[in-house]
Amino acid sequence: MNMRNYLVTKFIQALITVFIVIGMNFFLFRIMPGDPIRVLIRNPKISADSLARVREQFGLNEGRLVQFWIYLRDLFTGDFGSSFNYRQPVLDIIMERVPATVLLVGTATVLSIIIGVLLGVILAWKRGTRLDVIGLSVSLILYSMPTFWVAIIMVMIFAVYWQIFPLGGMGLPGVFYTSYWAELASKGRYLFLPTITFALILVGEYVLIMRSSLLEVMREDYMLTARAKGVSNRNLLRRHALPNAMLPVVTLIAINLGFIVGGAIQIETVFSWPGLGRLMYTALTNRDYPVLQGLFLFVTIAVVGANFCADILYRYLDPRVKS
Amino acid sequence: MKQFKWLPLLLVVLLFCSVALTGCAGGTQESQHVFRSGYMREIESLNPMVIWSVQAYEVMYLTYNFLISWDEDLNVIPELAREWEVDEDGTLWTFYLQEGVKWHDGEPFTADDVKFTYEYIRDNELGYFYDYVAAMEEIEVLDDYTLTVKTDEPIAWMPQVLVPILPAHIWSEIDPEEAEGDFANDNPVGTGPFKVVEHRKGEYTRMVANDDYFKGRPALDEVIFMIYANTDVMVEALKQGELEIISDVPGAQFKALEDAADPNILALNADSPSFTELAFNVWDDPGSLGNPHLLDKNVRVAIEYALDRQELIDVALMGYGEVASTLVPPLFEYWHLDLGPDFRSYDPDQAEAILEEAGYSRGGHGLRVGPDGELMSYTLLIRSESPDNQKMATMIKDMLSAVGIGIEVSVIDEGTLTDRIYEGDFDMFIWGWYVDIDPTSILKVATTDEIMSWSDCFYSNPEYDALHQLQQRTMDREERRDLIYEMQRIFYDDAAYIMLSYDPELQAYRTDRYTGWVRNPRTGPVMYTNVIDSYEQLKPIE
Repeated sequence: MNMRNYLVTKFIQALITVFIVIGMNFFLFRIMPGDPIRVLIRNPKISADSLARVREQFGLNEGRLVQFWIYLRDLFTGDFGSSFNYRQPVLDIIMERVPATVLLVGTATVLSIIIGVLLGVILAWKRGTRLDVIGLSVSLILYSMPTFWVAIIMVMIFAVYWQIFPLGGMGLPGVFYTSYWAELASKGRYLFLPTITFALILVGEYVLIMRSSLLEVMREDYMLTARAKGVSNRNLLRRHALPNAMLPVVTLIAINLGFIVGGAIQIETVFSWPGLGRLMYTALTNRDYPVLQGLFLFVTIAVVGANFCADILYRYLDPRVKS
Repeated sequence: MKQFKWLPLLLVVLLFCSVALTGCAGGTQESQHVFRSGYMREIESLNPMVIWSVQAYEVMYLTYNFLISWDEDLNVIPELAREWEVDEDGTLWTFYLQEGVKWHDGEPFTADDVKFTYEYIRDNELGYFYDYVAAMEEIEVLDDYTLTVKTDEPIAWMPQVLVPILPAHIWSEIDPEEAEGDFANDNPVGTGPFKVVEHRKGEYTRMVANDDYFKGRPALDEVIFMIYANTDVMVEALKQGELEIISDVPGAQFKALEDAADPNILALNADSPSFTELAFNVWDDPGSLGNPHLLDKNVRVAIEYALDRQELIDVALMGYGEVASTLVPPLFEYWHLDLGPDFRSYDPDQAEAILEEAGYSRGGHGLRVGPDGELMSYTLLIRSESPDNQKMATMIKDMLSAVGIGIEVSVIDEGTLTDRIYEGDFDMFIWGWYVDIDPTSILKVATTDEIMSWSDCFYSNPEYDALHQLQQRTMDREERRDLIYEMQRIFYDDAAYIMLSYDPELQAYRTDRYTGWVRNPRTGPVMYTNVIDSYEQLKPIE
């Protein structure tokens, strides 16, 4: 299969996945008990006219299939509907929160990948030593710790007990800074704790996967051959072992994106971080279906997109995929 | 192994960065007197026509003014109206307005703005405000600072019109459908002491002092409402001095604050205008799907005797609350009726005696059987949103099983419960009300006209309805109070609700930075009340 056909096939598969998720999201919210009109209008005293007006405004006056058709049609024009709670376009609300989450999740992910992969390589290389045992246990512990709990503990230690980092939020409103550097430093202080917490949660898994993947590769015959050819340790690792061992990690990174959102809900809730995770939690408690639907779609596209990228990346990393 | 040399380097850089970050924090300054208030709920909108949460109302109270306000004894005092009078019939009200008041954008405030606001809401039946202006037949502007309002009949709660006055020059251009729809009002223009300058959903809302405020510029330069997603973190922010006040503190955290006894933090267990009740389905209609036993007053009264409310409050609410009796909470001292010996306090023997006499005798497996041969077994619906109510429900189940009544507790979300109520498909549920300053609206909830509207137990009593009509038109305050006492007595006697607790408002605030906190009413909270005295009167401690 040539590159173009491969891309087209993968792209169509991605589109189908997204479409199925859109459909499931839509009907999932519609079969939940309770009339959404009660969320929109908390005033039972409202006149029948106003009621009809609001129903029409939010497209609740049509049948379900018609509603679905209108929803699809609007999606193509970039209209995600209007929030029940904020009475604003869903897309605007989501976009407002994207930067905060990308900053937090992005920094934490990059940090955890770098550290995780490095530690994984070191542990694999030093397998069986005391360092390996300690590293492995720590990774396992980090991997299995509940996100919410770690976040609370971090707040307790660094923001309550030692008070070297702020309690939460992205900054303290009403404060102005004497210099640009002071502002940057302050922003960094607010970002530090949630990022480190998130990175801690993520890093264990990367260490474990990297370590076992590298160990497996090192057992391969071609590694023995390379060693016999007199390739130096460094080149052995860089040229022969790492490229092969990275494959599972790339898959993991792409798949993880979906789970990261779950983690973001908890981290953002503990640290009062105004990102997508918080938005999802608030929308859920308010039964703000349009926002939830928009968020689910957003996450779906992110995950499917990441997997699509991973598929392409695979072709470069693993020549076998080409055949 | 050369390639790992930079790992220690990376760690050193990271460490350095974090140390630098902590060190650099000195380069900040507060802009004079900033007042931060922490809470757990997002402000849904700045548009008064669509808001409903207490937090959003607080921002509205600071942005806009009403014609009148209340003092600490809940007497009506001037606000935008400096004086008013009513004619002998009690239907023609004349308001004399403050002169020289300016909108936040510099335009002058006049009687036209008042007329516009009331008519805009009346003609378009907007929001919760409609009820207050519905009876206004004719509004006439006599001059820039005088207007008259004619009502179709005497209205006892006048002039307490709980409607924020909006600037005509801005709102007249807003389509009423938009006003109730997606008009964001992100830069609200009012006459109030503070104006919104920054509204970041899910993060904070920043307001700055209005230099031209007609009652004088507040001493606070900024008021910032900060949203927290975690109560413990919010409490800690108060302790560390980041916040001046936190409200709606859960019992557990409040108890910890009380016990800590920090000299700079005052934990205020204030009365609030809200109560929690156990409501029965008393809808005497073929459409009702409730258990017919509950139409029998004896059963409802027996259930009330069987409930140990103090125990419910002590355990489920950690002791924060007061055993409740009538529809009007004691916060409204003037209107609240003290039942005295008529109050049915915990007495399970009495409960059993009443049930025996009414023909509900014990059958097999401990449950009583009604005269119709059916078991006394009912479903109690609980909101999943309230863990406190869920705790209460478990206890109620035990208390009632002791007298031979079976309860099945079912936890559902508020939306589903609302639907079930309107379908008449329930036996009983626990929920609560938030009561207006004037008792009319809470008393109205139990009238026959409100069935399928505000009523949630479908109580109907012609005597009660007639008293309600009468009290609404009685302009003499004391005479009206007697009528309202009587209504409370009748509703209590019929036991369509078992009033469980008068809920407190738990707040905690710092006393080391500002002074001049005002509780309104006297036993009430310092903020999130119907007035904004605290915001106007707080002064920094030098």
